[in-house]
Amino acid sequence: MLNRIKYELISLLRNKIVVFWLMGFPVVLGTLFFVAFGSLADSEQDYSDIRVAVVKKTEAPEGFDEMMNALSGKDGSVSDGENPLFEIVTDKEDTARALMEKGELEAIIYVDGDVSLEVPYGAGGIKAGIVKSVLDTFKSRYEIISSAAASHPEKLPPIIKEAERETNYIKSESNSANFDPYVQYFYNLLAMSGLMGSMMGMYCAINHQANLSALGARVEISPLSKFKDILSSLIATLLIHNVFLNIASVYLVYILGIKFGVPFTIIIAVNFLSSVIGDSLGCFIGSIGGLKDGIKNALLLACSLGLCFLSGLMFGGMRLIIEESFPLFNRINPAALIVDCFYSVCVYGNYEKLISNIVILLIWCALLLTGSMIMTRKRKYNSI
Amino acid sequence: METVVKVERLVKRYKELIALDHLELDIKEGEIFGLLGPNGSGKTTAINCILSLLTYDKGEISVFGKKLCAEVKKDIGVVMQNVAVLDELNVRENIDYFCGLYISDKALRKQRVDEVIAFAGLEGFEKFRPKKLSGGLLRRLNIACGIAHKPKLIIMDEPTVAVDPQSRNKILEGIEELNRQGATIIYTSHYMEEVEQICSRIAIIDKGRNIAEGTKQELKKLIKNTETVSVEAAGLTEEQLETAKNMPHAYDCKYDGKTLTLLYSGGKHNLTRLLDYMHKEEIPIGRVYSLLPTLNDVFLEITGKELRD
Repeated sequence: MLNRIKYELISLLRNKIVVFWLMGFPVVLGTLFFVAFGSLADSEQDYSDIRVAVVKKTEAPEGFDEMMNALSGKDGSVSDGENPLFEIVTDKEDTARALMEKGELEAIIYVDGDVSLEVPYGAGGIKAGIVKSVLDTFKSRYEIISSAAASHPEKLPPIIKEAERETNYIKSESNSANFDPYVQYFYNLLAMSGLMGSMMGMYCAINHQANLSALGARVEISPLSKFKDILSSLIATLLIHNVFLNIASVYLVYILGIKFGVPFTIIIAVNFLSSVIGDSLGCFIGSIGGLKDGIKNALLLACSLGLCFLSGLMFGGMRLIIEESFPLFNRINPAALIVDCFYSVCVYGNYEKLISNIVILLIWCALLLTGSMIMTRKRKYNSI
Repeated sequence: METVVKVERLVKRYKELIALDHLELDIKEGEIFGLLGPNGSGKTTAINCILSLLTYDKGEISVFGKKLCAEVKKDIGVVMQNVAVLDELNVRENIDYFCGLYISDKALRKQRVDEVIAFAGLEGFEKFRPKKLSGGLLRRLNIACGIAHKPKLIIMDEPTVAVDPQSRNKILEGIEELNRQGATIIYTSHYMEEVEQICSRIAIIDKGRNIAEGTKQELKKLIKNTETVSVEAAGLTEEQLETAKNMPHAYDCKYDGKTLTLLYSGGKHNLTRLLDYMHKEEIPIGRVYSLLPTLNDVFLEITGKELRD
């Protein structure tokens, strides 16, 4: 079996098509994205020091000032070398409006009995979103704590403790987060490279089926068990696929300097998963009898690119469109799930979402591999 | 001699088409057994059934007295009709890869790979990838991959298709050498010359049935024709033709105005007798041929059609 794995590895490494599509293509496309979207490491990516104005018309709710002081670094909680999330520019409404008109202010926070927000006309940017998110979180916490204080004062300490823990968590995660809208193209790029590996998975199936290739027939008449045969091939395929994906990732992260906003270990883990789903998809399509290799190839290319298109590889807003019209598809589209694995950790620091995506991807893998096994379990055929 | 492969009443249908119709084969140890038949006669189907790649509708197959299993497969080498090698591996790696399906011991495998490279005349090409090899060398690589593990039974399914005559001869010599080394060989082909040249026993298959079986001499005895004599002689008269037709042992006569062809059944000195007559009649003659019957004649006489139809 080791001999087979060795030669499968050599064979894949020497296959120029495989090397190009799985390593060369993401590197080339990644470079093109990098050039097209400009330097992503500059100010566009800096989401600290968001310029806001706080205009108080009434007394602020309890805790509001403390929160704003913490987030703007006025309480000294921001250490040297770090930038606070907010920069409170003014508390005068007129000045604030004038600055907003000039485009020098991201949001005006009004305290008028309630806490409300005004953002520039047409603004839908990440920075305004961050301010809104902070205020929503505050309001929600305030309501919970006020309500608890009124009805169950004894429950107040644990609720406050939990809120503090969550706030600290979000704060720490937000420091490494990348809210750049372009980074999703790079997530998609890795998802595409994962799914493109389906071509290797396809040959993995074809080359071990007597009814699909002469090579398959030759292997099937040997004493080697079919399980060992396919397993050795899959191991080699997954190994190569992962190496290529990780090389492409190293290039994107460490050479181009793309800030994925997730630890590299998460990238490696998601790459592994996307290689498994890609190879399983290829194995499944490759196992279908009665289809010519060319048709299978075209089918896989259409599948890989189609799924990536729908997850936003070519047009970033596509996932949102799908989310509005047919949200279930985003929950089952492997490419969207892979992208979401990165996204959930990067933007939300949410590992629960990551885990649920991983579970759905694993279910996909299990289904595809089971389907492949059912189709390839035979060692005798009615016709070859 | 011990039976190596026994096929009894084998029936294989593809929907309405009967590919094998109660095929019977009994292949003995040490033979080069030829399966001869036109394209589509069922040779490859029979091989695939023996190798347990195809299901079949009826019949029994045993190899080395057993149903085909992993243990039996270790002693079988197969050279497929289509070249089945890995394009990205070089000659040595390909042989080692396929040999590795049978032999896990690295040292033994290396020894076998070296031996088969020398045997197949692939020295100097070890580092070549299949795409860089000529058609003949590629076929030799295909054979080397199939026999590197030194099997007791070698099944070769049309191994010389699309091979130049020089390489073909080299391959046929190699097959005879393998047989001398003790391997039993099943050789399928629609090239009767090859089968005649190397096979010790032959089964002629048509429409999934073996219509004749035996040594080439035994097969040729099955038919009426023993000799075909052709003489270039223009302008023969009716009377001369009639005399030629009535030559002893001649049973058929054809004349196209240029060449006289007489078919004989038995008898000796048939050519001399005809030439003596022509000399006596002062008939000017050109080229003269005397042909012994071929397996194609056997096939033609039994089935009424040419082997390569």
